[in-house]
Amino acid sequence: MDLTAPHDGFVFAAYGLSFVVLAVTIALNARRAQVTARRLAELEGRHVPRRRATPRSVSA
Amino acid sequence: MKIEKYANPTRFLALQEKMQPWLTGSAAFIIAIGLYLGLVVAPPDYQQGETVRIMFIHVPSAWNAMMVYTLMAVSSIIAIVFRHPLADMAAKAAAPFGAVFAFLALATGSLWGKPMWGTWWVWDARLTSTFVLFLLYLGYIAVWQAIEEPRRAAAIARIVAIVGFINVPIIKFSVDWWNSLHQGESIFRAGGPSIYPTILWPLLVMGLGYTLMFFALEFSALRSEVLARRIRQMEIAEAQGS
Amino acid sequence: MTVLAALVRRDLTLALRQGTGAGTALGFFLTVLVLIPLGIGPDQALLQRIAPGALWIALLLSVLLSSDRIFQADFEDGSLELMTMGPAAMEIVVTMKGLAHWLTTGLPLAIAAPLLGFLLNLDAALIGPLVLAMGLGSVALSLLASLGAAVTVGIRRGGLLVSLIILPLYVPVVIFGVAASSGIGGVNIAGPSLMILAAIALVALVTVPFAAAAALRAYMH
Repeated sequence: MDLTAPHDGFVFAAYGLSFVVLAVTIALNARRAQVTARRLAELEGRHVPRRRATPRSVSA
Repeated sequence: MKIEKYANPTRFLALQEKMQPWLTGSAAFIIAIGLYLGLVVAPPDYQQGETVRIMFIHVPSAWNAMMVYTLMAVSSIIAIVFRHPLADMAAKAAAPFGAVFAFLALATGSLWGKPMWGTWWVWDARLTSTFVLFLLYLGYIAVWQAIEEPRRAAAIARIVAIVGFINVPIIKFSVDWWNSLHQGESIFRAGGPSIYPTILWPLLVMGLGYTLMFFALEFSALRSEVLARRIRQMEIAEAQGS
Repeated sequence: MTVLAALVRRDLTLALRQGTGAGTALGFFLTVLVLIPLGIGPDQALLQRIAPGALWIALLLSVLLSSDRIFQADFEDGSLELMTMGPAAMEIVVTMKGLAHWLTTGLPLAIAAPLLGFLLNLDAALIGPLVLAMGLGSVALSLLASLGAAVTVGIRRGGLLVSLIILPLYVPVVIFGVAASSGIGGVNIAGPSLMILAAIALVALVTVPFAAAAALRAYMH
């Protein structure tokens, strides 16, 4: 790629923006996975049952 | 591998754990190849010069934006017809990614358009349709945020996704028609670069890379949704038990 | 048949008595109409050029934003729940309510809009085509607005959400509505545009009742 072409700035901006936005998306996704896993481990550590102790009543 | 076999959330989690590294790894690998092909190997365009390289991230973004919305609509239909437990969650997880791809398609389209047509934004058929698609994503995401009860939110979200999906071709058709109607009054010719092989290959590779990237993100996000539901159930049980 | 008529008559009576139907929507319509020249300047030539499009935008906003009352009152006082147990299917109820809204708000506005076009220096020759196009287009506008109302009936402050969901669906209506009334490229596109508007109205008539009924059921469990 010719790094001195007249409209190079647009190419850099487009690729740069895409990279930043996708990196943020991936990071947020990873963080959510982390937080979720941690919360789940915390609850499982307290041996919280997955199902309710008492059955749900018929009408919601 | 039957898809139905992985309808069970627990089985899905097992599948996801196995597949995630492959999805993420292959996405990164393919995109790396695509970037090399697009930025190093491909020659500048005869008319557009280096700016044609923006196409390699603009078009895959747009493809993904369309594909993700289609998947959301299909998931919503599956949720209604088969009451598949993962379907609603899959659609919910996918929406933000679809919105990101739509936004990137718009932003890179704008950056591509400025050197090509001289303005930051043009109401050509493709950009306008993508803009509306972006709004459809926002509306869908807003439904999940506005309704607290998950099952009710899912019921409404399904409707919004399916109705929106029915409208996508109608909107596209009408915007195409509108655009051609005003073509004579515009100062530019909406065209695209002719697809030579040297441009086609980077495009296809990046298209595949972006698709893999979406599925890598989707599997991870869907896992988070499944686990989040479990957490909710456990929190309710805990509140009840104590 | 009498059940359907009863449904429509009930909504019409309520709308006429409460007076919150066409009047407020018309007021909103006029307000938007005033803002347009204030925003872009009083240049008569420019206003004439944009008049059809501006009238359409003011119309669709008025129809959409007046739609929340289609289901709200009945939802809140439990009447809607009673209707689900009544003789008419929910889809029919939704259609009749949408029809009532069209008769009380959509259609009156659609007829008034071209007549108010002179405020934007609308070319007089376009009044007729505009009445026709808006009359037809308002069917789709009202039906889609009722879908938005159903989807957001249980949400507080659902107005913005309704706009976000339904306005993209208005895109084809606006495009073909303006084309049918503004005479771009000559009269020859008005005919096909009207037919497409009719087609959109029919598609809406067939799909909206099912989607809206499903949405209402989700809120009433």
